[in-house]
Amino acid sequence: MKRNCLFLPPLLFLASAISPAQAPARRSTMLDAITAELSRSMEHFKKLQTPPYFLSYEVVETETSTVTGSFGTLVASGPPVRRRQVGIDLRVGAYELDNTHPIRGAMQIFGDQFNVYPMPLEDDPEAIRALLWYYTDQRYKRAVEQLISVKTNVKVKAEETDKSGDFSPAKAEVYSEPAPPKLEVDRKLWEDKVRRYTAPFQRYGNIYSANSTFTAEKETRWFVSSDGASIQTGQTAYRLSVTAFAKASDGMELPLFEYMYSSTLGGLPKDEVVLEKVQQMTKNLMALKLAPVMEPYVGPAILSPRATGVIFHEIFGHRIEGQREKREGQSQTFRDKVGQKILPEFLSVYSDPTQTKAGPTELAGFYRFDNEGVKARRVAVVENGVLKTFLMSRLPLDHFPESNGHGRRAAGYNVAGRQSNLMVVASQTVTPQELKKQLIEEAKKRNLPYGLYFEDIAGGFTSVGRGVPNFFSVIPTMVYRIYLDGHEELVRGVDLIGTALTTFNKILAADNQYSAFNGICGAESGPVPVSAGGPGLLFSEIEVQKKPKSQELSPILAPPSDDK
Amino acid sequence: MLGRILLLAQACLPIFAFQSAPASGDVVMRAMQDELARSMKKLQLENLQKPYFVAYHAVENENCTVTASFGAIVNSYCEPPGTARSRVFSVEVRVGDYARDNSNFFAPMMNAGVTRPLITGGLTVPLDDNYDELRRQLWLGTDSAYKTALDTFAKKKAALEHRTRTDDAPDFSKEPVVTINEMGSPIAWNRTEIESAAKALSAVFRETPGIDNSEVRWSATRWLARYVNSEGSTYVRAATLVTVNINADTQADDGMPLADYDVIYARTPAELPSRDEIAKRIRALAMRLDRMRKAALVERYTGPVLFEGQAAAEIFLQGLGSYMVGAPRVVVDDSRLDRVYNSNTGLIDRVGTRVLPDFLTVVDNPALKDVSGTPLFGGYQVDDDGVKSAPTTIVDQGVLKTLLHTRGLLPGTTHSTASHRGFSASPSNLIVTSSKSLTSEQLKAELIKMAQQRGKEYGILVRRMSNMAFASSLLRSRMIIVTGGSTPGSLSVEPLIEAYKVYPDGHEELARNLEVNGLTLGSFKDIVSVSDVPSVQTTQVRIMARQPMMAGSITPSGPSVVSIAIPSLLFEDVGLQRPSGDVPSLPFSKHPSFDK
Repeated sequence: MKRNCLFLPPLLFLASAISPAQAPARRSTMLDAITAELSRSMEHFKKLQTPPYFLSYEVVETETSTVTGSFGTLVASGPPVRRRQVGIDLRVGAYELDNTHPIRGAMQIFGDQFNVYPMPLEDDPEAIRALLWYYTDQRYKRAVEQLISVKTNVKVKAEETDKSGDFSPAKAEVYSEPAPPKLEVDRKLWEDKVRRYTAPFQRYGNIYSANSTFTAEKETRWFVSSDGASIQTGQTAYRLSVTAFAKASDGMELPLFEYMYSSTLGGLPKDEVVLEKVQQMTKNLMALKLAPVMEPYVGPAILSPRATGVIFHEIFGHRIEGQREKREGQSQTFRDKVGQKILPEFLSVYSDPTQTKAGPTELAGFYRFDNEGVKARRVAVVENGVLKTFLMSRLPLDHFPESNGHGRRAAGYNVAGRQSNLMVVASQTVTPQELKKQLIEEAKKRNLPYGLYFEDIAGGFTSVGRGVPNFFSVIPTMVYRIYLDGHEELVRGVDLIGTALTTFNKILAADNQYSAFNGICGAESGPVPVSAGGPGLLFSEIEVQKKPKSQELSPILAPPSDDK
Repeated sequence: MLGRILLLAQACLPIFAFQSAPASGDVVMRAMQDELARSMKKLQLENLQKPYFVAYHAVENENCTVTASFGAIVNSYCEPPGTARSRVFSVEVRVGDYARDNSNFFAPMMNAGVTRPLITGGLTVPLDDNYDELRRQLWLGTDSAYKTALDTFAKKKAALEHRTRTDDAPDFSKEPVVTINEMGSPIAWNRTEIESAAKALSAVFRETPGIDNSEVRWSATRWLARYVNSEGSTYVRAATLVTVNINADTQADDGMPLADYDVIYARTPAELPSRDEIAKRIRALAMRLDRMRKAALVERYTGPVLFEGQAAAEIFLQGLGSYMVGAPRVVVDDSRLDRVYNSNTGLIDRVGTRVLPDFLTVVDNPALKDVSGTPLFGGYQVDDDGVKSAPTTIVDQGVLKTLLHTRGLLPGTTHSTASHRGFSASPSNLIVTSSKSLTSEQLKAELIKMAQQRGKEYGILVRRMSNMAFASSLLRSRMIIVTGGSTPGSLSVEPLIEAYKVYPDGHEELARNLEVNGLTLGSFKDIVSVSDVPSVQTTQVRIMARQPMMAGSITPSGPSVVSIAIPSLLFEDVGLQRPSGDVPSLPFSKHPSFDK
């Protein structure tokens, strides 16, 4: 089972319009309509033999505008697209055992993994309620069928390790904030910008793809439940990415990317800053083309603060998502490690969806309520090296009976425990120079000619299932050899591999820098925006392998522009 | 307005003389022609073969689609015409020669080249008319297609080394060089008007308590295709289509799912019927469906069945029409997979034999615009390969003459039937004519007579039949219970929507949820009579004979609909039955708007 966590652009993005909550606005037509239909349904259900014990509706409206440029020209530009979708959580049975309980030994039915129905784009209560009723009827019939199978399955199969039930009660939150500000998109202006951001790549016949995508998105969510919750929130997000790839003469593909995020349009970098990054990308691509290929290596390495964020997200963050410790098919890496030391004492890790910034960087994993109507909160996962808790949705776990506001999903998926803003903090630090010195010392101890410095990593995937090794793999883009005399050399073709628990044991020191990284994480509950950050870290040992190389040669003919 | 055709017969022009290019100021065309010329002249990997044929196909697409349900917009994507939202290039490169090239071969492998588009038609290119960048994408696309072609051709030759190919038709036909400019109807649309129309039309269902869910989808599309090939052919072809698609569903009193639909076609919004007229059709649809809820079930029936109008078109196209297309046999790398990729080669083995009664003739005619004033929507003047359209007689007095195909030839053929539309060959406008017919009254009387002769209490008359392309558009996870067509060797066709028991005194009684069971290609030979007046229908056809994605698979650049003019068909013997699956329960409550 792969958890793809690509920190790469082309997915939807949502995030925070960080204005302090205003006095509740007047109730919205949407909230009134879905509340009325929910009450009516619950009344009717009472008369039935198997009434739902819980029903919630989450309507998500998104308005998205996207513009893409390539090599100085426009390749895609559309008008804002507005969409409303409802996710329905309808449960029959009881908190202890309900229709969502996994059926062991059966193929999962495709349709059950998705949960999305289009809703009217207009605030027309009759039309909203008509569709809601139709979908609720379908969910209800399916839920009753599921419950019958679940009840049989638990009788005929071995006892499960976790006995905490299928759903947890949560406080019924009532909250409403005004609709987010209007999307500010001057399409013509942005069409021109993405042309300009990609124009510098035109000069290079050996850069084969160069794209820049600007996305503006406004999201409004309405949540009501049979518990009495009633929530309306809104956010805006602006995002800009630049990606490019070249090939080395041996055919190796060399991708690079830049990713910029803000909750306001003004928060995105100015043209000069973007163009500076673009120029750096072209320089790096040309340097990478000439860089030597990294050989397999086992030895000390430093992760830059940015790389630390990605690594922790991948190899640590996914393993503290609550459901990974529950289901029989999951690796349950940390299930029995609560209260034990799993990281060096000088490191703590928390996940905080309420945090909006880390230094100058706005964090994309911000939200006020999770997708199950639970209030967002800071969760200290590891304190001074000791594991304290997990990232919980309303799916309980033995000894962790409640959600801590990390039940997340993208529209269309079922909720799961997911990361928000995952931050690694160090209580003892050294300067980056000192860290580099320590790296060289470690290399000397092992009689190695150099240590490695990971400056940038583009995300990767991690596997958390059973029956497959619990490995992770990330895609480092800019990696340097640091020689014993301190000089640096760029290398290419590095693949960082390893298993989670052994890697954590090898952290020796942290530096006093801090950087956070925004991205999109895809896992079972869909692509959700996340942030991850931390200091630079020194590992006594990491393992790298040769990256699988593309067998494709460069084009036969010269670029048309060079072929006069 | 009629499409303008410019056809210049160019007997033996030097290959790259494009003096008569359609629009001399067309940057896209110029970039395509220049990169094509360079590729033909210079593209060669070491001492391997140069391409013998290269073609570029560019498609621009403009679309406005608005969906409304129960009086409110559910989805709206609408760009004004003239602001193309996508431009896609397909590159076709052939190595070898016309007799034997890299096509008609399948081995599971990735495309070669730096950019490796997943299929040949996958290049997304600048919307800006930027000559240099258009050429850069064509350069990379051609490089990828050429390397893939070399790789494929080598593998194909290796596979054929120890096999004798039974199908010796050339891989690629030679066709006359053409220069065609088919500009179609000018089209305009207005988002506000369309949204207001879709809303108002979908609100009709607010007065129909018997319908559980419904949707009105208003859609207009304009395609602009440009084509150049190394033989010297070029075309620019614009096409438009406007559809209003209405879907509704409910459950019968016993819980069985019921659905019906209606689709209205036009070339431009102005050609659509008035809003009142469409509203009337929606009311008729709702009424039909509501009546169906209380209609009787027929357990099982085998005997004469009369298909009228829409139902005649659907049974003919779903049964026989989808087999009227042929694809060349594909050489498969792993011969154990041969059956997988050659499972449906159409009716090729039956060419020269009778497939229909001797009074029926079927012609595919892409150039035809209408039948006695009723418009046809499946046509074009030039197909995707740049072959000028001409009528093809598929069935002549009951005997199968040929199958529709592209420049990939079938045994016994020498030229394309100008049928390449997007992913495969497809019928365009099918004209079914009869040398012997009855009036519709006589036909109904014939049905009754035949039923009586067979000792039946009644005969069955079918007026509407489902089509998967339309019936599945509503997002419904409501269980669909289908059991029909399960007899071995039988054709799988969609359930009937509207059928009637016709009693000896002529009165009709509605029957619901009927499925066709045991229909075979042979059933069509036993059509006993047809009506004198054809009905003209437009619909979508599932093509059975398809090749794996490879050279020549290109992005559709026009409507995928098929029009057909067909009389009512009286079949001697068709088996019908009710579905035998589990029946879902009725909704847990009444519809909120009708729960008073």
